[in-house]
Amino acid sequence: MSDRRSSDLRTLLLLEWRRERRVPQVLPTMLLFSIGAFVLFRFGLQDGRVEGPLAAGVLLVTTLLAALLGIGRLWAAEEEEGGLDAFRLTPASPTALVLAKALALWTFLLALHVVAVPAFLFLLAPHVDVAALPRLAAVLVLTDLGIAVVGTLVGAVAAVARSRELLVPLMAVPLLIPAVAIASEALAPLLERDAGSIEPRWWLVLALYDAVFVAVAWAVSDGIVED
Amino acid sequence: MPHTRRLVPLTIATVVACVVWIAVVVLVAPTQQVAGVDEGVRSKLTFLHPALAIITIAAFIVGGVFGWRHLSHDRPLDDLRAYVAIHLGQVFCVMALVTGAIWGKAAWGVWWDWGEPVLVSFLIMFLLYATYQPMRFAIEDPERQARTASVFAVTAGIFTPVCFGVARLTTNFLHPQPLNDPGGSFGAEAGLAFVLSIVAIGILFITLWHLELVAKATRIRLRRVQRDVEGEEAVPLVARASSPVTL
Repeated sequence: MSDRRSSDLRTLLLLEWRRERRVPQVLPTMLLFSIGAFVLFRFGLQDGRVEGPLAAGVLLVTTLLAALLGIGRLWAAEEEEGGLDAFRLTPASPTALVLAKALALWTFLLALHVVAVPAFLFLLAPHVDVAALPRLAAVLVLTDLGIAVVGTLVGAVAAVARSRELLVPLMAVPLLIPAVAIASEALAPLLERDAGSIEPRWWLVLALYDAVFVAVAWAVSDGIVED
Repeated sequence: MPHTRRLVPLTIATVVACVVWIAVVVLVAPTQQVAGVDEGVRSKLTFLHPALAIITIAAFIVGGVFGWRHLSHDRPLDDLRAYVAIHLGQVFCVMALVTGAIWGKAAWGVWWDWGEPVLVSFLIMFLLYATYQPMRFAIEDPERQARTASVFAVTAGIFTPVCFGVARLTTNFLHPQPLNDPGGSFGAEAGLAFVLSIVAIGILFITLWHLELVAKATRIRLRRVQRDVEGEEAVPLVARASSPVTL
């Protein structure tokens, strides 16, 4: 049974990536937005450099806003092209679909950061200690997971509504404020000139936030997919 | 409907609890003295504002629990229960924000402090739940509307304690706790008044929840009868779309 579920999950995740490869929508949009935002910050901050909490804020808020673009498109094919109706005809479980959507968004965000973080460091924070980069990446991996899971839930709720584009940011931003607050606390010392260390509690709280919303996504998946 | 039968005893209990609570606050509970200054408004709000905030959080969590029950058992009444709990939670949330602002003006000299994490968490929660009705009534199919609203209720209901937990962790500047303040002048009477405030406002919430539940359920059934008797056109489309559920 669990083999079947993981096989469904893999198939659905590959489907998401194939769809993105055929008609690139989410990744290029998020990427262009992020780079544009960093350039905007560079001019907005009068050619200044950012460090510490300000740098963490710029990076995380840009990630959050870019993610909103992806969240808005995440369930679009299911709602607009009848993908959900087709899915209901298959024996795959609703949990597999919801988790595949969350994993797809997570991988999109990770792919985004592979390009956006070097751009951020080049444009706004060239002083960052290279030794801090693995920890920075680890914090972003956990933050992206939280954004992806919450984004999947919000995207699913908003997808069935008439004013989807308006509802996604209205619902996602409050839900993601704790994730951004925790990640900011964790990232701020890493983005100082002399990188500090992350307090262990931030790892724990970030992981807990992710775990709570993964459990919620798991629990409500039937309600999302059911006809 | 069982909620109708409970309305009268609940109303009596609410009146008794509120009268006792107000009497204790006005006549028995002390007014805190800080450096010889009488802190009238601030002291009395200690017996109103925290209770409103606690009941608001409880209302949102109760909404999540009923949302979960609706998703599990597919009973439309559970969706209505979640809807009413969240709706009343929103009203109590506004009252908690307003009384908090008045308290802030009396205590800190400002209506709002962005550095105060509990205040900001409450605002975040308010903003999140403010999207509940727009989200809900933007979905035309009633069953889908109910199910999606339940997904929202569960997610937001779990988010509520998470949000407060994170707010408490990410800062050292904690919300004031006058009853636990070792330097404060509150005594045992204050503790009694505080507990009474939570009990009274809690019973008030339960009574209002029953009242709104009965009113909404009655209206929904009335509309159904009206449609059966006078035809589909008798009930305006807008009114039908804004019904929480079809019981």
